[in-house]
Amino acid sequence: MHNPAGIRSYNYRQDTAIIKTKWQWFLLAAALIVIVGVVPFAFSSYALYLGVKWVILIIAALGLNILVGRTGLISVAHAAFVAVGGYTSALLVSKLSLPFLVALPCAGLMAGLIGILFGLPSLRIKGLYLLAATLAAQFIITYVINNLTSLTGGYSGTVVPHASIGGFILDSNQKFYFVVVAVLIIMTILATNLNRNRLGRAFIAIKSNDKVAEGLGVNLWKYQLLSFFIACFFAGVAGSLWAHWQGGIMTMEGFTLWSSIWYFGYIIVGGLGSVVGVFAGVIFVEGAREILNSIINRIGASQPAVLANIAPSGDILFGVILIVFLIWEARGISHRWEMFKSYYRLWPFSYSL
Amino acid sequence: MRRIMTKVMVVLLILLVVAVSPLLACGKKKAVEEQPIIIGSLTDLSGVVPAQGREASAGELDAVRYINEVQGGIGGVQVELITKDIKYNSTLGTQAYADLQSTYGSRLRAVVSFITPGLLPNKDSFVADKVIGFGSADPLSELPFDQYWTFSSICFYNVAFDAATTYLIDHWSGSGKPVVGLVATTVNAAKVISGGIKSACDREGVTYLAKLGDPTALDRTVDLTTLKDAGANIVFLILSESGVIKALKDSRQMGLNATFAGLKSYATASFATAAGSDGEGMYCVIDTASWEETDVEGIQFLRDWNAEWHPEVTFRSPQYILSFVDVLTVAEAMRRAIDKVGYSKLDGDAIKEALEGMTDWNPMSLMAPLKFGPDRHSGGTAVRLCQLQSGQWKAATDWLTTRELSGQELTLSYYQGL
Repeated sequence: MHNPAGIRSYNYRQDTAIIKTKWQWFLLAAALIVIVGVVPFAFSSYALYLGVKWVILIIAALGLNILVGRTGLISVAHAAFVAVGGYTSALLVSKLSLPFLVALPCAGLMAGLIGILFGLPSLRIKGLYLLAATLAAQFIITYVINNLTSLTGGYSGTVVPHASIGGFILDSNQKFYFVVVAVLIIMTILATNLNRNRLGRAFIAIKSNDKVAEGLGVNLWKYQLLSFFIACFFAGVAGSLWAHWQGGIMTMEGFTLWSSIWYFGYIIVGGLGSVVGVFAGVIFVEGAREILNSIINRIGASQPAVLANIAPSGDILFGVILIVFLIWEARGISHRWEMFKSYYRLWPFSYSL
Repeated sequence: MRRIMTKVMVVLLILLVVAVSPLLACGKKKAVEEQPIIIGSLTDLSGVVPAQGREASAGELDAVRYINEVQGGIGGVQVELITKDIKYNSTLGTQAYADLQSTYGSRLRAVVSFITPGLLPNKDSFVADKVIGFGSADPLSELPFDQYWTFSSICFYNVAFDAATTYLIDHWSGSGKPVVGLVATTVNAAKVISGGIKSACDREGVTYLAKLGDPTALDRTVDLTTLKDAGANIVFLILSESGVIKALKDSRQMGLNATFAGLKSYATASFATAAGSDGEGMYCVIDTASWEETDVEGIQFLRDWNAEWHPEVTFRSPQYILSFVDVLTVAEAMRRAIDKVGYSKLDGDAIKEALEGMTDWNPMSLMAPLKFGPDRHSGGTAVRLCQLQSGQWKAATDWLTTRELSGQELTLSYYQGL
């Protein structure tokens, strides 16, 4: 990674630091003040609704990014793992009356353990074959949840109470916003640190060439399953947040194969392997969908009779935008962001590039 | 290079606008005074049941036009319908409601929706925001009546299909007692329906065979074969529209010559066309008058209304009529509330109280008289059967009065445990 002009690292600790300049610390502090001190009070409830939803999607996508972007494995069952976390948390809180803050990590652990189970085939197969195996995971988890009626409520779903912390009930987007942001910060630090330690380097080695990595002493069995566990842990935590945020009913409706594919879309558009890319991917994809829906709804509000005819066009147009975007910048938004930063650091001496 | 970077900066700025604009676009609420009353509609125009959604939207829009142009609004205040396509998805349902609430605030007086994802996930929010939710068929959206702000103009499915089953058994023309069957999915509504059919069969001493299967499974020939072998004479089909059409065709091919019956959502022109001769004689349990009943005041009005505004339309489904009634009912509650407290003091409590006071509401005779109360948010009192005859849906019975819900049927846990 290029450092800003004049910034040098004198030891390994400094070299691997995430934040290296006072300016970066200042920006971080300013961003935190805006995110925690301004956004929840200045923005409308709908904006906060979108904010909470996007944050939860980012947490889940961070997990998939570790599996796909960092380790080079593949999974099209990520939404199902999010559902495992959601149902685990919902049942722990509603049936066992456990506190939300206890259920939250438990949801991650349960999803992680289930993830290890379905990650076992990765020891023998990879690529498209692993994709097929995880596809089976999506269907199996969906089937089990939908048919384990006594526990999950089946297709009718299970009632999920609002999350509460110390008797403080998180029954609004504003209240829940603080919780999801706190969890996002923790999960982002975890995901970012993965890029800087032995575990993260083992993942990258496996992604680069698993046979060579094994030859260098990386235990494939251990690290591939760890990758599945961590990815699904992130998914489980996101599922727990999702279940209690919706605060009403939990069904498999929002965790279909289609949802899993969307998670893939987020990290591909954002840029595989990049934490910043996950943020950018979710915000770009969901933001674009929101704008398209907003345009369609505005047309529908002024000409209601037309709405029925144009309603499906949002999905079609969005698909076209995604295709065009991927052709134009296949390495994702994060790559463009890196280019921009490089240019900015050297500006106005752009010829130096 | 600089030119490239300038382009990159422009793209990044666009991305920033993309990300932030929806957040800023919905930030400010408009003034409440002298603004139209907002009724939200959470519908399905591009999801699981878009054909039904189009009919529902048309009915709601025509009702609003009728209220504004014929009735002069509600207490002189115009009504605006804001429709959101939620694609039969609960998450989009909550998102759309949050958008409505954020944009219109206290001007949003009611939300109508003919699908469960429009009301069930929002039932707590309706209570918190004091907004009427109207139009669901799923008991989970409404119960317990004294705790939620969700209403419907129809009967619960269990008592509706109890009445319909009783009628079909009583008018069975074969020898001996018929055997009743059900091919349905395991979704909650189907279980509620199954409970209603079973109670009628138990009362009549008739054998009942229920086959509940995965909602995603289109092929139900195994279940149909089982029913044929059991000698089923009356078979209820509670599946997706395409699933029912396939089941009808499969049944004819395998020689299962039973009387078929199903939901009101099948009583559309497109279903009649798709089912063809295989659907001939099929019944649907409906809550409204039928489009062919020109002697009904409301039907004649709607036919004239459609001739004027939608000359291309030759048939309207029960969902269109039901959605028309839903909006009229909500508007009537608002009108009564305004009469009582005045427009300036109109709030959710006043509308809810007025709605719960409507004990004999019969809009244009399009439905049997609706009866609401603090302990009765399901207003329907009767259903009827329509039948596909010569490719057209026609009323087959008069109103079949439904029994009142009682005991466990009034509790949420009963329906959750089905």
